[in-house]
Amino acid sequence: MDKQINAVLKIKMAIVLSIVGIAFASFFNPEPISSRIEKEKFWADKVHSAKKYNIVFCGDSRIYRCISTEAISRELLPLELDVLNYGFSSGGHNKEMFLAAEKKLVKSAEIKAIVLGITPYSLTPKGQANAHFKQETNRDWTDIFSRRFLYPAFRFFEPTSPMEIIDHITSNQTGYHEKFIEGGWVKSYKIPEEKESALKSYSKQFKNNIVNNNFVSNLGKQVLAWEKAGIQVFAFRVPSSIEMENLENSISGYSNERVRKAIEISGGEWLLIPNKGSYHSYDGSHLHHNSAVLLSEELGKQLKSKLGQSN
Amino acid sequence: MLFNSLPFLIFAIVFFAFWPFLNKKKNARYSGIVLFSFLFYGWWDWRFLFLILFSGIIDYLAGLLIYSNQKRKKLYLAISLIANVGSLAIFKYAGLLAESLDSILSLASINIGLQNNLPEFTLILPVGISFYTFQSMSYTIDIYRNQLKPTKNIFHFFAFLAMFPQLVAGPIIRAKNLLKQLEEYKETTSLQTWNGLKLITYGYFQKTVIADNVAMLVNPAFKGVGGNDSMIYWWIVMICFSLQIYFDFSGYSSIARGLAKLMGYHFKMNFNHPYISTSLKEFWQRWHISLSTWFRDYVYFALGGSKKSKLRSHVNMWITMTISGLWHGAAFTFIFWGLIHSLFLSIERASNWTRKISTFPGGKTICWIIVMVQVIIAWTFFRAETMQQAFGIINRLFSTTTTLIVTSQFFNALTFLLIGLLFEIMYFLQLKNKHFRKAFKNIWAEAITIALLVTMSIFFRGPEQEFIYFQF
Repeated sequence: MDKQINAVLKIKMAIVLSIVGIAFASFFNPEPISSRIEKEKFWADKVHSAKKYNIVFCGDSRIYRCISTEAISRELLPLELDVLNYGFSSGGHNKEMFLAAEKKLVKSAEIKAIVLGITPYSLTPKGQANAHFKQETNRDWTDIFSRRFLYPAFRFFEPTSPMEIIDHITSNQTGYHEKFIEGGWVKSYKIPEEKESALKSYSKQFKNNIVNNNFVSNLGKQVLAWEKAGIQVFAFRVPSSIEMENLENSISGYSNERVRKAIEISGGEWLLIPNKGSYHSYDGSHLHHNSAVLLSEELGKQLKSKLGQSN
Repeated sequence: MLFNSLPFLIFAIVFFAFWPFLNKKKNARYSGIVLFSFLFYGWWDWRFLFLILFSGIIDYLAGLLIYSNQKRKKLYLAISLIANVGSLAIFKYAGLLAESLDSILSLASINIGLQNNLPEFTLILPVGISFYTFQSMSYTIDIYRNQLKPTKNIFHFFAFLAMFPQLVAGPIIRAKNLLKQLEEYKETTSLQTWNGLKLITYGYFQKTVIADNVAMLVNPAFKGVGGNDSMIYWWIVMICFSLQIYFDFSGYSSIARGLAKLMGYHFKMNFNHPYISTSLKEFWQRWHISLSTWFRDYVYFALGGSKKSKLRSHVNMWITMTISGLWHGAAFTFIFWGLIHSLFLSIERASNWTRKISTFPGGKTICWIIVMVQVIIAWTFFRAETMQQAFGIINRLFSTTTTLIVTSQFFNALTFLLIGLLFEIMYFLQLKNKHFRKAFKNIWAEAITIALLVTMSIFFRGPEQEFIYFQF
């Protein structure tokens, strides 16, 4: 009998102490430099939200880290256009992505456009696998529901790590800082910056994995189909570091002229990015959020003058 | 349904809200368990419920026929075994069998491309198939051996076979243990509730805090993107993996046992702190006990065990361990894992080295170190995606390179590795020290421990990962 009474007492004590522990921990839980709950919601929203847009940007991580939809919308004023950044890690330009991007457009809108952010990797066989996009698309509905609506309600349960606690105590800002912005942009920077890190990784990524001409020609065909369907198509090579661009030009088999030609022949417009060297990358591949805003403003200006005009 | 998912949380709340009412009436109890268990399993893919039904009905009927018709009991047992092993062969081993056949035929310059022409359904591994087929087989074998009376009610049989806490990843329960418990109405006591909640908390902590966090070091390493490649790095990775697989599976077993306790049932312990073992024999008595004893009772003993001759006992052990390896996965790496354990066990048995070394001062510690090295080497084959990768890692483990780049992710994983080790050391200290044991039996100490584990499971949870043993 004593054991039974003790058990009841222990259950009650454990519940009370757990509540105290959780409250204490959530109060002292440091603000993460990259919130997992926000991140999960961000990706689930990006893929599964029913919201439709006038302009959809497609591409890989250079797109989702380098295109601020807020900055673009600001530049497009007084045109009130909704802009979506539909970039995914290692996102390749292929039929699967084209269809998904098209579905994000407002069908009945007068102005609708797709902007393709071109990187050499997005036209390689590995890029075409679209692993990240598939992972997000194939989640089951309960997972999607939890990520979009349930977990964000429990932000105070944000998981942390020993390193984050130490950094918080020592006011150390080291790490990959990410803010997940509605509209699809990941506002990013890294402390300390590692300008060589992406170069090493990309040198490996292009081994036996170079740009395939079939993918370029498929891209051209899709541009033609979109233009026929009344969707304006723009494309540009996403700025990175000069070193990265040189590396990609030398080992990826990418020809900017060939891609540009394929797009323009099909009716798309190629956007030229002036002063590419002035953009700042924190890892040799992705732009620092300040540069991302500058690039987005530049693109916004160019789009404003071209939107609604047919070729 | 994953234990660490929202649907399961809702499922568990609904189930335990109904359970006190279902439990009171015999028929409602059995049908309630079957219904909820099928919902639990069907949530993943309802089509594979037919597979459980198929193998279950065959074994249910085979059990009745074996018992009522002793003259033809061999035939009925054979039917049961063929159905179970057959479904495993189709759904789990078709790829490996086709690959092996293709390789053999290619030696004779015959290319039939069997592997590429397999039906699509053979590419999907039904969750938990290895667990429930083994559980089902043990039922008919026990009846064949006159160790069990078959149940006449099909709901009773399916309540035993499909009971949701243990359906997809064990522990593998024996009918003679569970059917008896199911028969009687017993209200869940406060002590059972406390023990159940304690087991569930331990299980979630093991899975979400330790296993999922050390996975952040292990997974990139095996993908070749860990950023390190030195001897010291690979030892850390392999120690992390050793803890990951243990806490992942032991965590699942603890949650399963805890849920059963909340229902008023008792599942035997499945993991008994295997990493404190000072011999491989002891390791296997502590690791995945329900499977090890299954193999001992139904394979090793069936082959003659150690009754015939010393050599024969070694051969029997090698066969058992190889099948055990194959049970874990349809790949040569798993078979090799079983073979390596066989080799180490044979050496241990033949030379009796653990007993000899134990007699020296500090001998037990030396034995423990040697056993852990053997286990870690074997885990390399278990985790590697190819034999080539496994040998490459073994090569690194015995190289002399010591460079190590410590990233924040690495640091985090190391911290959780230490927490995991501390978790096990605490148990060891309680085992060895009376005062320590007494201190931890204190009401306050127990309640604070649970509160601490709950808080850590919430705030230090790693990125959600599927339980490793789901793939087996």
